[in-house]
Order: sequence, then C-alpha cells, then structure tokens
Amino acid sequence: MNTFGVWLFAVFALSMQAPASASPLSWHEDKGQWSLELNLSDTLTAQQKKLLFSGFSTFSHLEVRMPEASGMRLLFVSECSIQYDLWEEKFDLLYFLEAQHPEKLRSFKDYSDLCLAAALRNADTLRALQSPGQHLEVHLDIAQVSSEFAKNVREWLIQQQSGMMRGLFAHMLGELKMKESLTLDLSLPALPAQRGAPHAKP
Amino acid sequence: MPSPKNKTLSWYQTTVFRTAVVALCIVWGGYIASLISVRQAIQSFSTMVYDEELAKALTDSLELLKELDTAKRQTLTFKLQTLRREPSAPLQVESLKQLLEDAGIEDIAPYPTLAIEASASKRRTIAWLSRTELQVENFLVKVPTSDIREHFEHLQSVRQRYELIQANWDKVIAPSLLRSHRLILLGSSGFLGLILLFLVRRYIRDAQQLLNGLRTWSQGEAAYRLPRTFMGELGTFAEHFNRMAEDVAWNRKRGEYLEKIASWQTMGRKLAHEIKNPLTPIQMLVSQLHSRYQGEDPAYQTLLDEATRIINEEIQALRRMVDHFSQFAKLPEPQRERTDVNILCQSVLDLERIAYPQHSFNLKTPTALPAVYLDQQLIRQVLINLLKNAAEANETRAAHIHMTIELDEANQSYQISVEDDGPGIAPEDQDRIWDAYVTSKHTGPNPGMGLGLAISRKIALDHRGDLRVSSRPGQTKFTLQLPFDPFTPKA
Repeated sequence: MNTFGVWLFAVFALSMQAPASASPLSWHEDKGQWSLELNLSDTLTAQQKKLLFSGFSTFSHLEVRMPEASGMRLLFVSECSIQYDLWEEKFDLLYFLEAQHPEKLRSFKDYSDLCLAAALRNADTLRALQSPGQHLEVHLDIAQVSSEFAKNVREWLIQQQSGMMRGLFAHMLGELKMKESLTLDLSLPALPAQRGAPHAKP
Repeated sequence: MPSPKNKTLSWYQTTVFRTAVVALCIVWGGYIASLISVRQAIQSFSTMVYDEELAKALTDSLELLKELDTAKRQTLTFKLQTLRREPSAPLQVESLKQLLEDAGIEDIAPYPTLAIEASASKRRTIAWLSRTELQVENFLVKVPTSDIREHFEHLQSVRQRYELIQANWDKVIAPSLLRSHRLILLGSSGFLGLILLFLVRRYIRDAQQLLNGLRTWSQGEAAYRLPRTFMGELGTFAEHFNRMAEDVAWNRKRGEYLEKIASWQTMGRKLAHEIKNPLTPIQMLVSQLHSRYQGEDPAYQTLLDEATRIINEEIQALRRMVDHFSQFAKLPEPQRERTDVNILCQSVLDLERIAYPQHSFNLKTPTALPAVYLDQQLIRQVLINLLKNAAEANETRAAHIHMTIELDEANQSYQISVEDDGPGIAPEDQDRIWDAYVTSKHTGPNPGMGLGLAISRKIALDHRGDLRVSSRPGQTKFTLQLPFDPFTPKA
C-alpha cells in the first residue's frame, strides 16, 4: 500500500470517530459560592434512555464517590422512581429520596435535573477534589421496577411451554428485569480562572 | 484348560448386555444430538427475538394512535370554534350539549359519558386543557378515556412485553430454556438408562440361574425342575425344559417298568412251561388210580374219590394259573385301528352291568370325541380289568362306579378314569400294585394271580399312554391316558 493510501485511510478513520461528548461535570458560581455540578442526561446509554421512556416504572440510583487513602468516600447519593406516561408524554415522580412529596415532572430535563444531577458544594470536598490526579467515580443504576408487569410477562412465557417443560421452566426462569448500569471515572474540568475560586478561598 | 462343565456365563458375554450397550449409546447419542439442536434453536431465536422492524412498527403505531387522537380533538375544537364564531348569547348547558353534538363529540367519546361543569377559568376560550378536559367558553367538559387511548395502552403493553423479553433473553430466558431442556433430556435419558440396566441385570441373573439349573439337572439330579418365576423367552425356555425333563423321567420310568415286565413275562413263560408239562401225566395217573381200584373197602373208596376230586380241582387251578402266566407272557403287540372310545367304553360298561348287577355303573363323556387309533381288544381288556377290580373291591356293599372320559387338550390325549367309592388302597400298596404277582385277592372262587394291573399298565405303555392311580378311603381312581396319535411321542 502506498503512503497516500495510508494517509487517506487515517483521515477517513479519524473522520468516522464520534465527536467527544461534553463532560458531565462543570463548575458553577453563584453569589461567590462555587459548586461542582454533575448532570448525566447526555451521558446515559441508549439502553438507559430506552428504559426511561419505556413506560415502565423505573428506579434510578446515582452515587458519586471520591477515592481517598482509606477507600472510596461517598459524596452524593440520589434515588428516584419515575414512570413515563407515553400518552401524556410526561414523567410521573413516584419516589424521590430527598423529598417527602413527589413532584410533578413535565419533561426529561425536569427529570434529569432532579434525578440524574448532583451538586457538590462543600468547600473541603471541592478543595480535596482539586488535588493533582484526583477524579470522581460516578455510578448510575437504572432498573425497571414494574414487578407486577414483569410477573405477568413471566407467567405468559411459562404458559407458552407445554407439559413437563412448563413446571421445570417456571422453576428455572429467574426474575425478568431490565437494568443498565453506568460507571464513569471522571476527571475534573479545569477551574475557570475567577476570583473566589475554592482553591483561592480556603 | 477349564472344563466346559465349570464354564460360567459372564455378564459381558450376553447378547442382551451388548444390545443394551448399543441402546444406551443410541439413547445418549440422541441426548447429545437433541441438546445440540435445542441449543441451536435457542440461539437462532436469540437473533429473532428483537426484530428492529417490528419494534419500529410498534413505535410508529403508538405515534399514529396519538396523532389520530390529537387530530380528532383538534377537529372537534375547530368545529366548535366555527359554530361559536359569532356567539349570540352565553352558553347554557342545553345549548352546550347541542353544540357538542353538532360538532361531533361522538367521534371521541359517547355523549352520556361526558361530565359538564362550570369552568373556573376566566378566559372564555374553546381549547383542550388536557387530553381529558375540554374548555368550552364558560364550561369545562370532562371527556373520559377514548377507545384510541385503550388501543394505545394495549399496544404499549405489547411493546413493553417485547422489550422485557428482548432485554432478558440472553441472560435469563434462553439459559433457563436450555437448562430445562437439558434437565428433561438428562432425566429421560437417565430413566431409560436405569430401566435398561435393570432389565439387563434381571435378564443376566435369570440366564445365570437357568444355566445353573441345566447344570444341576445334567449332573444327575433328574428330579430338578426350573422354577416358574422366569419371564418372557426365558420362561418359555424353562417351561420347555421342564417338559423335556418330565418326558425324560417318564421314558426312563417306562423303560424300567417295561424291562421289569419283560423279566416277569420270561419268568411266567418258564413257570407255565414247567408246571404245564407234568399236569397231564399227573391227571392221567390219578384217573387210572381211581378207576383201577376194585376193592370193597367203602372207607378207602371214599378217601380215593375225595383225593381224586381234590387233585383234579388243584390241577384245574394250576391249569388256570398256567393259562394266566401264558397269557401274560404272550401279550401281543397292539394292533391299532380307528376306534370310537365312547362306543368302546359304553360296551364294556354294558357287560359289567350284567356281571355285577349289585353295583351301579355310569358313564360321563363329552358329546364330541375325535377318533383314536388303538387296539380295541387290549384296551377293552384294560377297562374290564379296572371295572372288575372296582366291583370286586366292594363285594360286601353296593358301589357306585363312575367311568369318565375327558379330553386333555394340553397333552393331546384322552383320560379315561374309573372311580369307585370303596375302601381305597393303602398308601404303602399304591406303588406295589403295578408289580406282577402282587394281589390282595388270595381267597374266594377266583383268587387273583396279581397280573391284571401289570398287564393293564403294560398295554397302556405299549399304546404310548400310561395308567395311574390315586386313592384314599372312599375314593379310588384309576386313570388311563391314551394319546390321540399313538405314533407321536407323548407331549
């Protein structure tokens, strides 16, 4: 293969690569108070998105951890149960870890702001995060929790079998569940060079 | 080199074991092949379980249903707005009903299912607040869930089921299917294998037992018989073996008896010859002695007359005995001819009824009897002898003597039995009665020579049949067995 061919192939290969997605982490300043905000709405896998819009009752569990000498330190945790109404095209919040009363969500943005986002405001934590080589481990589980529906489908599958196979299959068949986990190891973005940044303000 | 007598049947040498091994190989081959095919079938389903086109069609259908519902609602609001373009007066409930009817609300929901109430909103518009709430100026019309919504929910449920199965197929459903099939195949193969093993073990055990039995019999235990517990072909084999052993025993017994009879016949022939020869000279001399005496001594004359009478009587008895011996010694070979046993028995009974009027004789016989080849004179002699014995065993009382003819299909023979209700034969005598010169009738006008039953049994054996006895007090039964075809060996 001649040199031109190799270059042509390299250019083509590079052009076919997906554009790098924006980091879900970003710094924000509000009234001189810095916070590190995380939003996973653009980082969800296709299966997770499909699961959220499937119409099933869906449970999400978000954890943000930071590695320390003694192990992983839990910085943030959030849990939600929602159901997307395909007819009305809106989310119903069934359960939210931090709220006593479920809120009404109108759009995916409302949902992601509530359930797929985290904000770290503790100055000590933020300072610790800026040490060289520091990173965050983000874990997001999204699982279907419509147990009644899953049970019905399971029963339907069992009924499709015949004779001796039915009993055996019922015994063998485990729980039907849709679940997708996402674990991200995120490097912190550079802090905008502004006054009042946490490293400058102990 | 081991003697063939000590050779044992090894389990691995049996054909049934080899057949079972082949069958097991086939069963397990089938198991593996079935498992492979099931695995392939499940794998092929894995690619079919999520059909992109079907998923897209379901999603499109959901969208279409929503669009259809939206279009209907928009059409309704458009019609309502057109009808109320120039409102003359505020709407009343009745006029609202008419308005909704004119606008075609029935396309969305049946009219009676609507609920109308006053609107809390200040705005007097005609618009959908939600998919179930329609504001018409100062009224709020609550429209229940439409048919389209129900279709939508049903289709959504189908799609969710489809997605749930697709998501769980590779990790949950397919492995469960495979495990279930594997277990069923394993269970059925194992069950078949166990049955085969059980059958083979039982067969080999029976074959070994059979072989041991044959060895025992061949080593001289002629009375040994195989048990009746064998099943199938081994059972048939054991049954045939037992029959063969019975035949061998019977033939041996028959041969021994015939040899004994032959020696008795030789002895009888010699005895008859030795006795018969001097009888005539003795009788002539005695006659001369009697006729030549011319004396006048009346006492001597009386003694001479008495002596001559006694000697003549004894000579007659000896002659009769000699005749019996001669007859026994010269028993002829059977001259077989086609005979109706029924008629033969009936004629014998008629004779005996005349000879022994004090006894009752009766005959029990089947209606149809096949003819048999036998020597009529000899068999008649046997039957007369048996009836005569039965009658003479009951001299002091009136006896009931039954003659019965039966067909023994299994042994292809007749059974002619003579049964009386006399005192019976002592058990210790039952084996001896077949011997010649053994009799219980030592006195009377016709003392027995002890040859009747020996002759009768000889005749029966010469016909390839047999004569047996069973006796107890009050019942004695002699059974004459005659085969249908005397030239065929006894079954």
